[in-house]
Amino acid sequence: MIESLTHFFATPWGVLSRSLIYLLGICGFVAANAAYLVWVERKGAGRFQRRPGPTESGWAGLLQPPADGIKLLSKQLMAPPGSDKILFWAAPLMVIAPPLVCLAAIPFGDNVLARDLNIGLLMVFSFGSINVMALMLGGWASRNKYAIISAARVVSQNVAYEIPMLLVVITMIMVTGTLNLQEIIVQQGGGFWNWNILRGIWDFSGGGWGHIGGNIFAPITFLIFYICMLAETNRAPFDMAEAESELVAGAFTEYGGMGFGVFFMAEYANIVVGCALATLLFLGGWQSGLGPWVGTHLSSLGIWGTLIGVLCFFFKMYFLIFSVVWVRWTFPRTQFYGLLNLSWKILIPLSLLTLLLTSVTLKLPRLF
Amino acid sequence: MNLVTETFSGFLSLLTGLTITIKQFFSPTITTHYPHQTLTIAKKFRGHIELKWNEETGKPNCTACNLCAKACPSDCIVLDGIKPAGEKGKTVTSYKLDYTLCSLCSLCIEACPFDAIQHSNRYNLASLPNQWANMDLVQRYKDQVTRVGKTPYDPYAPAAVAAPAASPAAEPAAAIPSPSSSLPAPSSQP
Repeated sequence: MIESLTHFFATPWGVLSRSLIYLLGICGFVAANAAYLVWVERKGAGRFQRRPGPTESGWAGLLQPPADGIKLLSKQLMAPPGSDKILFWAAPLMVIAPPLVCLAAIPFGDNVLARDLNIGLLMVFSFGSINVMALMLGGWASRNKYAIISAARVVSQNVAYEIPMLLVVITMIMVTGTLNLQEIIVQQGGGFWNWNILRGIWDFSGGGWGHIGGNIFAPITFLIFYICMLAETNRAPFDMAEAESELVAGAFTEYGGMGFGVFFMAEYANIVVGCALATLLFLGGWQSGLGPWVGTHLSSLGIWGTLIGVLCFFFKMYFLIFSVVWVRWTFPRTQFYGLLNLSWKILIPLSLLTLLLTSVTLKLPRLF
Repeated sequence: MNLVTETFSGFLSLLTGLTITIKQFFSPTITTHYPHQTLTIAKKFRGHIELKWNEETGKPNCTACNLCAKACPSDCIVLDGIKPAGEKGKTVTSYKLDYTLCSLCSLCIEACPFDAIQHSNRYNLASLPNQWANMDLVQRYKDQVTRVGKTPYDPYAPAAVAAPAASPAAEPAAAIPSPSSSLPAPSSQP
């Protein structure tokens, strides 16, 4: 059956239907995540504060997201008078489209990948940075002082955090030597010590310390990546874009109904993309990390191997997403200059240092 | 160097914070899920006033002397009473409380020479407008007496009929809860 399917997907109709399947799948995946991560967030917030969170609608409040969605959809869409209508309505579209596009390049499993791009990583980051412009346009177009302050904050925050983020990504690219996300994951096969985060530290299969081809600073790199990911997705403690206690709702102040809902969905979609990237860059993507014990490669198990791989990927990704919620309900919002100081004074020098040291550790062994 | 040590110790403190919150995450919740669960209201809770009654006879202590109404600084008590046939003193027939004016100052309770009123422990009195502007405390007394399985005292009844209420042979005295503790879950009340 699988052979005939692969044969079908090679025909033109197969290519078209495959694209359609992935389009619908990704849209559904993003929508389901946006809806139910809100539930996870609320439940998590509750548990962290020793209360149960939503309980009333459905079992354990599971019908809360559809209820919220119906409420948002039934609201009237209004643009404030004097606002730039085109930009005002373009902003929600621009904020939700990039994560959808980014997910096309992210491999969920062995064969579960919409487009195997050679420059997948570059594409994800170039589309990921549109988010800033969308928030800025939305804040600026709504002709509201809170929104404008928030837009200014978003730009300076995202510029500050794009730099260390891209620096650590360059560090990882130096180790992997490829921008193809699927290839990056394949390189991390075998035991969990082959995952990029641990690869440079200890090789259990006999390599010992400073395994060549790895990055000994990968844990620090991962940490910088994680912090930048929080800042890029405007999550607490870096939620300057939507600082409720200071700026009403920041750039989203004037948005109502599904306009606001789309921004909200985009926030979670961006978290999914960010955590998926962290997973496949550092935590081995769909690799189970149990290679030496299981003794077989996942791709040799056919459809079941793919399924196990997807589950591994989701397990790691949702653990990271949970940690994002965990961080949000642990730390208070930073002050704005504290945020910029962290980036310019600590993260950028640190990421430059790891970049430099990584290149040294990669090149030094070749000199002898 | 200072920046390095500060960064490092700051990062460690962040980890400390994260361990504290994750411990809370896996601990049981400590909230009461209000409409489904209610806390026990303390007896000393000062809700609106209510009439006390004699636990054995089921008759209200109030003699309609109007001292509470005179003591009330907000003028929110209006009461009336009659002298029932065959009785020595008056007894209350209507006791209206404008709870929207009441400030729960307890002056009426202090003024009462017969220990006839007390604070109830009702706390959830959300209502449509003016529902509590004319509280009928006699009706509340009758409901409470009925709830513990007794006949409310009827001052208009002939003396012969009013008397049997004084001999509740079937009911052991210990089983009769006090008026304040006999309240069921407050949400079920009118």
